[in-house]
This record gives sequence, structure tokens and C-alpha cells, in this order.
Amino acid sequence: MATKPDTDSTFDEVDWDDVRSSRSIGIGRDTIGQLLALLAMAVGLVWDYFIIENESATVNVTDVPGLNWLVWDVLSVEWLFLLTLILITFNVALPLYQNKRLTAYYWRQFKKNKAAVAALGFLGFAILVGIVGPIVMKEPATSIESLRNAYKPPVYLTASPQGEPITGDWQHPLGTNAEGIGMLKLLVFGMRVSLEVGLIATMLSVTIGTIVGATAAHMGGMVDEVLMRYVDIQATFPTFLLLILLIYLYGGSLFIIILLFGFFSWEGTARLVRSEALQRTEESYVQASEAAGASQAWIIRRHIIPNVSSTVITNATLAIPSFILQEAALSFLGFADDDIYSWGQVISAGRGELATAPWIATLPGIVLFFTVLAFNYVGDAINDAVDPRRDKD
Amino acid sequence: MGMRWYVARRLMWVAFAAWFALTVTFGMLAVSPNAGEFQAAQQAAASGEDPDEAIEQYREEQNLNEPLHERYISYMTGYLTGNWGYSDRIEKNVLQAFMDRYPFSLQYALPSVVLTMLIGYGLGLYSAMNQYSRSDYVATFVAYFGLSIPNFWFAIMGVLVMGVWFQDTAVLGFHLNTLKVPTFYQQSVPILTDFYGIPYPPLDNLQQLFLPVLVISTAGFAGNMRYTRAQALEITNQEFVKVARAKGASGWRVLTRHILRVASVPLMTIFVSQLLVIFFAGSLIIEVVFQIPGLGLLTFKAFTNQDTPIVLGATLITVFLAIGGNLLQDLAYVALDPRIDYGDR
Repeated sequence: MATKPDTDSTFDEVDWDDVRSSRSIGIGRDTIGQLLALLAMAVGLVWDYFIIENESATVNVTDVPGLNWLVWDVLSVEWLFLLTLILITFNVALPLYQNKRLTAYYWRQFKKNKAAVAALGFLGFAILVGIVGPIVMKEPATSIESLRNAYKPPVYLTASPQGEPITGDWQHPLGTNAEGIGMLKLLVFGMRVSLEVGLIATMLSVTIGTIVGATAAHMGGMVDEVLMRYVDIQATFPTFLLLILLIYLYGGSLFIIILLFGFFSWEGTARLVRSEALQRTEESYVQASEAAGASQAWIIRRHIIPNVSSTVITNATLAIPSFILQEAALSFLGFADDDIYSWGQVISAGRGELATAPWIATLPGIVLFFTVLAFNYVGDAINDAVDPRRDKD
Repeated sequence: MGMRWYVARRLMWVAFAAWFALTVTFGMLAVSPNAGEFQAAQQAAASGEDPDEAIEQYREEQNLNEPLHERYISYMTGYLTGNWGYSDRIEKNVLQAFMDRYPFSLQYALPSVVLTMLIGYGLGLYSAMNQYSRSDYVATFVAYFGLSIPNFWFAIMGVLVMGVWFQDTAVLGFHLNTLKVPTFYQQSVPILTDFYGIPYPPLDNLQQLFLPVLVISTAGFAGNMRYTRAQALEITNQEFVKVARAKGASGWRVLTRHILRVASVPLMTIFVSQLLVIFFAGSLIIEVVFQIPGLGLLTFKAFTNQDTPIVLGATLITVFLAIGGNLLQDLAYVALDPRIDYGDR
């Protein structure tokens, strides 16, 4: 911002150096911060893949007393997850923080929906658990020791999954599965998987969709025609079956599934951004920018994308739950790799023991349901909050 | 631009999309590691033969040694002339396999779609008419429930409740066992029976279709309801509705003669695409859980058994039906809504 928002700024107080610098270079303080964060991540990536040995963990502080629980081998999906978190911080959280007045307005609108506020609280907790949990908890592992704890019912409940009745204890408050791994641990690790799928895939599809939509709207003509006809084709294709076909042909690691979700589901965003951007292109500030000699890329990046961002973010919040559900369904059908702790997989594994150990299939489903429900509620409330056409009384 | 030109353009577009789908599938197949080759090698190794020889023989059989463009041409002519390949696994022609199985899917997909539409549209219209009332909130919550519940988990919970808990539970002396419906599909039960020449589904079949239809409808109606509600609200605020109200038309008349008439165009057209979605994407999960031997289970088994001809066939049929459904939808728009401007499209 060129003017200082906290004082009663008059024309004289405009900081022209700031204006000029942001104009000529186009890089503000926030952009530098974002670049630094991305650079730090790139260094970490190089460190992980080229400097340390392949097998050893990325973060390993076993030598430091008191911190020896912190062993974290950052996998490819988790690098993508970090990237997503950085992008969210700098492009959603930071602008909201800087623009306090608008944030307060949005919050007032959002607050009207009590259920959405509760959902937001639940999501905040779930996201925290999903991000921090797997770092501090040991990865689930099957051993002879753990097999002895197989099929333990949740605490205070008694069941006889293997003939003789056993009662759950506090060691595994939510019971254990067939391999003796605690359900609580599986839920936490599954939350990480669901978050990764939801956030990364959404980030990818929103990025691609926004770029394609904004470009199509602004360039018009042949470019618009070709891009939007491709969008038509992609919209016609039944994505779920296409995904299964691709996974069938090339294998289904979590990394590939997320990429496929991201790359084959941006058509809605592209259409939305295009129609919004077409309206924006007509506005006088774009014409003014054009008259001042701004390049096409500049106009798209500085004027069109920021002005359609509220639509995009709303759209993104509603895309997250559908990705989470689709991944769970894929895992349930067994199309994903076995070594990820997806809720869908846990449910699928517990399917055979419904009569004897119903908690295995039930608990992950409940958490999955509430996570998706919360995302849907929050997405709709954001939609209502940022849509200026909605009557405010 | 006239209507004929618009329809002609749409048809050309359909042809292009179908060609594009076939070509992309061919391309993906051509660059992917071949599952059949690996299988042949494995079989040969297991029976003590030379794996390399087996691979060579397999490639010869499947014409994989021919140049790419010749393979492409024979692939395209095969699909265009209805020769979709032969599945060694189930020893059937691909199209024949689909023809044999589709009644099993249709028998629950059709009632599900009808239910989905009736409940979805009804609730949607109702909550739009009573916006911000208590019943609107309840209906909206039910819609959220339907949208958020994982299909496969809901199906499993159905099995748990019906198959396990109802087994030996009694409420106030009433044994729930009598309300129990079969949880897994029995193929011995006929789909339809004859009653003096009139076909009707026997009670056994209706009972075992209860859970699948329930699960699909719960997931499906929510989307319909939200869409209908949004559409109806949009129309309710338009001038012609206000005029009708001002003239003194009753609420019911405004709803049926003015709102529903305009809203029905987009709503009717979703029907086709909805049926398709349920038929294929949804059927995979439902049929795996309930063991219904329809298209979904056929496709699923083909995936797990590396039965590539069936996998390709299922994908392509779905794509073609989706393209066709889209076409129908657009044509229905043209036929039903006189306000549509072809120049825009």
C-alpha cells in the first residue's frame, strides 16, 4: 500500500518512493518474504535429496537432549504440503492480517453462522493435530509386541473380538486394529493424509484454474477458444474413472493421486475465474492501467487476479472436502498404496470385522464425516461472507 | 446463428470429443508399462519356461511389435466398429460382458435417481419458499449431512446396523430382527417376475435393493436440493414472479405456473448426467460393498485382475455416455427454453 492506512492520509502523505518502487520492480516486502520462505524450502529440498543419504531422516536431532523425539523424514508429499502451507500463509493469512478492517468485516459476516464458527473451531483443532501430531508421534509399526494388543476395544468397553472378552484400557483409548496399532494414532496420521490431499490438490487446481481462466479472459480470441474448449472436454470426462484408469496404468502412490486430483479438477475454477475476470476487464482501472502502458502479464497479475480472489478462495474451500472424500473412496477401493495411513484404508480393513470389532470401521468414518462436514459449513459461510450481492440484514 | 447450425456444431463437437478421448486413452496405454506382458512373464517363470520368450510371444499376439501408427489405426477401427476387444479373464467379448451386467446396475440406479430428484427438488423448492424458517434450516442440515457423509462408509454402517445390530436387539419387546433386510446381494433372486404377463420386482429383490438405494439417494439428493434451492431463490426475486404475486396469484400458483416452469429446464437436464454419475462412479463403491454383480463390480474386478480390455471399455463407455449426456442436456435446453441465445455458445 502506498498510503499509510492508520493516519488520515491526504495526497501529500503519499509515499511516492514506495509507489515508484512497487511499480518499477513489482516486488514488495511480502513478496520478498514469500520468496525467502520458498528459497529456504528449496535449500531444504536440495539438502534432503542431494546432500544427506537417501535413507536417513531429514530432521534428526537425536543428539540434542530433550529433543530426541524429533525425527522426521520429510517425504515428497510433505515437501508439497510445506509449499502449500507457505503459499497459504503468504497469500491468504498475511493479506487478511494486513487488511484488518476487511478481515473484521468478513468475520462479522461469518460469525452470523453459528454452526460455521463451531466448524471452524473443529477444523483449527484438526489441522493442528494433523500437522503436529505425526511429527511428535512415532509412526505406526507392526511388531510382535503390537500384535499382542490386536483388537482391543476402546477404553471402558468390553468386547470379545477373538473369543474371550477383553476390556479396553487407557494405553489405547480408542482401541486397536487387527495389527494392534492404536486407533487414535491411525486417526491422527489419517488426518495428516486427508489434509495433505485436500490442501495440496486444492492449491494445485486453484493455481492452474486461476492462471488459465484469467489468461483466457484477458487474451480472448483464439487463446480463449482453445483453452475453454479444453476445459469443456475436461469437464465432460468422468474424473473419478479417469483417475482410476491412470492409477491402474501407472500405480497409485499418494504423491501421484494428489497430483492427478490437482491436474484434472481445475475446470470449475477456470470457468469461474474467466467469467469473473471478463467482468473485471471492462472496468476502468484496467483501461487506465493499459493506457499507462502496463503489460498484459502485469494487468493479469496486479489487477485481475487480486480482484477475483474472493471468488477463488470460496471455490477452493468447497473443493477441499470433495478431494478428501475422493481420496478416501480411492483408498477404500484399494487403488492407493498400502503404506499410507488413509482413513479409507482403515475403514476397508475393518469391513470384515464389523460384527466382532465394529470400532475399526466406525471411528475413522466418523472423523472423516465431521471433517468434511466442517469444511462444507466453513466454505458456505465464507461464500456468504464475501459475496457482496447477498443482502446483509 | 440459427438453431440448426448450433445443433450441427454441437454434434461436430461431440465427434471431436469422442475422438479425443479415444486418442488420449490410446496414448496413455502406449506409454504405460504393460500389465499383460508382466503377467505373461510371471506365468512363464512359474511354469519353468523362459520369461523373455513368453513376453515376445505375448507382444506378437497383441500386435505390440507393429509400428505405433498401425496399432493406432487398428485400435480406432476396432472401437468404431463395435469390436472392443476380448477379455481372456472372463472369456467374453467386452461389449457382451457389459450387456450381460447392466440390468443389475439399472435396477437400483433408476429408482435411486428418481428418488434423488423427487426428494431433492421437493425439499429444495420447499426450503426456498420458506427461506430462513426453521424448516429451511432443518432441510439445509439434512443436505449437509448427505453431502458430507462418505458413501462407502454409510454403506458399511448400513451393513453394521442391519446385518449385525438388528440381529438380536429388541426395543420394548419388539424384535428388530423382523425389520432386517438382506445386506448382501443374492444373485439367486430374480430381478423381475411375471404376474400374468406384467413384470414386477419380487419382494425379496426389493428388500435387498433397499440399502443400496438408500445410500445412493442420501448422497444424491443433497446436491439436487442445494441446486434447486439456489435456482428457485434466484427466480423468486425476478420481476415476473413479483408481477404474478402483485396480480394476486396464490403461493401455489406462483410456484407451479411461474417458478417451476422456468426452473424445470435446468433441473430436468441434470437428470441424464445424474443417472450417468450414479451408474458408473457411484456404482463402483456401492456394488463393491453390497456385492451386486453389475457394471461397477465388473469394472472393479477388472481393475484388480489387470483385465485391461474391460478396464478400457468401462472407462470409454463412461466417457461416451457422459459426452452424450452433455449433448442431450444442451439439446434439451434448446428445445425447452426459447430464451436461449445460440450466438453465445
